[in-house]
Amino acid sequence: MGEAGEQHSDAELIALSLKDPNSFTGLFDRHARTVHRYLGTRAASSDVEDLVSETFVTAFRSRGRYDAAYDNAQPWLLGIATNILRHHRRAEGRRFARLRRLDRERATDPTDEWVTDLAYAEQSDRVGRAVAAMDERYRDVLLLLAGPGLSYEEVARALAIPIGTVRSRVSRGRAQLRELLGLSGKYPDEVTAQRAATEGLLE
Amino acid sequence: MIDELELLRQHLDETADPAPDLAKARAQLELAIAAAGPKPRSAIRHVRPKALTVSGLVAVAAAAIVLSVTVFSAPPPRGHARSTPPVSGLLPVGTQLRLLSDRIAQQDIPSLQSDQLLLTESHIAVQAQVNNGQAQATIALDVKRWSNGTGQACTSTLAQPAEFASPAQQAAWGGLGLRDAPSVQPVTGCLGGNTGSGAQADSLTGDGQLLDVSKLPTDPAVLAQELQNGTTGIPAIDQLIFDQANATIAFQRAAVLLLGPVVGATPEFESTLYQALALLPGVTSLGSTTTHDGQAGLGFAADSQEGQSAIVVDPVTGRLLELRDFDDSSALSSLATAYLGAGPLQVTSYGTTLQWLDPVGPPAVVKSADLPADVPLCIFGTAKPGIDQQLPTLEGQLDQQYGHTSGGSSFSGAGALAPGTPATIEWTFSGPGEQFNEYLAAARASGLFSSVNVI
Repeated sequence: MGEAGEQHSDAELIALSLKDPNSFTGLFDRHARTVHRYLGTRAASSDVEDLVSETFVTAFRSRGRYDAAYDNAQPWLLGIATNILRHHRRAEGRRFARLRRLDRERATDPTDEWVTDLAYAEQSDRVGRAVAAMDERYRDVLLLLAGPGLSYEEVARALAIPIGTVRSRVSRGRAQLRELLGLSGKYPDEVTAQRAATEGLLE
Repeated sequence: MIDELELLRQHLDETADPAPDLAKARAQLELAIAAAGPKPRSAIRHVRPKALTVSGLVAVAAAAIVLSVTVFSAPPPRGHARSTPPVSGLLPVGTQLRLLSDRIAQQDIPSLQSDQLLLTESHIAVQAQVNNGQAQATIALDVKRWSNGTGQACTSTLAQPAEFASPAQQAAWGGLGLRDAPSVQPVTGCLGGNTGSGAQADSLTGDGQLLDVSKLPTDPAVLAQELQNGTTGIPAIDQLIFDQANATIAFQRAAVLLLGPVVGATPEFESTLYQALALLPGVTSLGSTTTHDGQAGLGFAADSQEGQSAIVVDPVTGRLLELRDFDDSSALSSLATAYLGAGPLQVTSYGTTLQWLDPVGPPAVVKSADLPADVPLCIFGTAKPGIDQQLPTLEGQLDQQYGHTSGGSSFSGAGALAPGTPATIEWTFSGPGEQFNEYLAAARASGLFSSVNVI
């Protein structure tokens, strides 16, 4: 999509694409990296490219049903990507199975306890394994919030669930993630304040 | 102190691919766009009476779906005793269609038990042209379809290696980055869920919607008008993307309804459809016509500037026997992408001509358990109103209790596809077995669904 595409909102691009299907490539150019990154957090790297492709092809074929009231199509695309991930759970499973295996291997080493001052790479492994162990419904909302940075309303739209459900899943998901990360106990005041600030941004 | 959400963000930043390769994904999107775009101008037009508007390798798959006609329209077994004389092809076209309307009204619509499926098979020939005829090939398909009584189906498609008119054509085909034979055989999938995700969910009209014909008018004149105006109320029919100048569009819409897969079909519906066909302008009789596999039928066609679309029907029963030169805009990317080679893709446009589609023998009622091992088995659940948020919970519970299904699952929230659409869930299994039975029993016992269908 050229400069003309930049002048249009996502909703306008989608509307244009009903007459000129090539306009839809503008949506790809605008959001493919975000979709790729989101899928990359949830699927084996060997599957991500195909899943990105399937997301946009599905979106293209569903564009007639896009709700033009929403200028930003990113939640819609990420919702489609999430649905496709569910359809291809094996793809996600391959990634998470590897992480769980790492977790089991590590668990055999009694000296390997996670502490905050470990190298960041190891922290990252730890977080990855915790995400792998999360309940999928919580994982959906947390990854949409923390990755692409969707708002609660946008997550609700992406997953076609009520916003109240998003709020409760965020709350429970964070608690579960905290527990899986070994951050047991109640939130220290400092963290509570940080959380409040963060949620303020997300809201 | 540590905030778990911040840790998660850091983790995502750390693990993100800084320079993802998006070229293949973009190429596949362009492929889908090309399939839905303006009709490519093909050299084939000069040698064939008709070049199709919507085409592409993907329409190979569309052609595969076209075989759904055989679900309710397959011919009787050969040698079947016929006490009723055939309708003469010498009669005026309107008279033929009205007589056939009476015949089809006497045909039974097969009804299936919950553990039964209707197996049909079709042979299809498709001519594909790429980049305005820069490369051309003919592809033969053998498509088997297992359908249940509510419109869901599983398909298995075997494609023969592409045939070329000359070595130069074969070289051109390969030079565009295409394979002679699909990389996956057979291509299998489930159809008819409302999940709207995945190429396997495609229908004839390309968006996975079922054709519910139960609310169509019973007055042939009203139906004919709605077919012409695209106001049947069935989006998949009304929004068919044909060349708007194509005078055959009403005829083709009627043909799509004859093909299905449809829900709510009755002999009366098909009878009304034939009467409506008789009222459409431009529908002509081809007289006695022999199908590609030698069955005697009556041909009907609609001419346009582009050529001619035709159907062939049984002169005794009125059942559809064959399609010729049929346009469709649907896409089944799983089959199209199976023709993509490993090298750079040079396809900028492509189209196909469905040369013919012939059912192979009569449909057979089989048990669900008789599905071949390589064909997926699916459970489709449609949620009761207002409880769709409970479906992911159930999905998670069953996942934990019985393990991941081999083919994954797909959930679509209420209104996710269009306002008013119910939430649905679809579980896919590699075949029947204990896990399938456990999921099915649990879904039915959950009380969350207005319907639970199996295919």
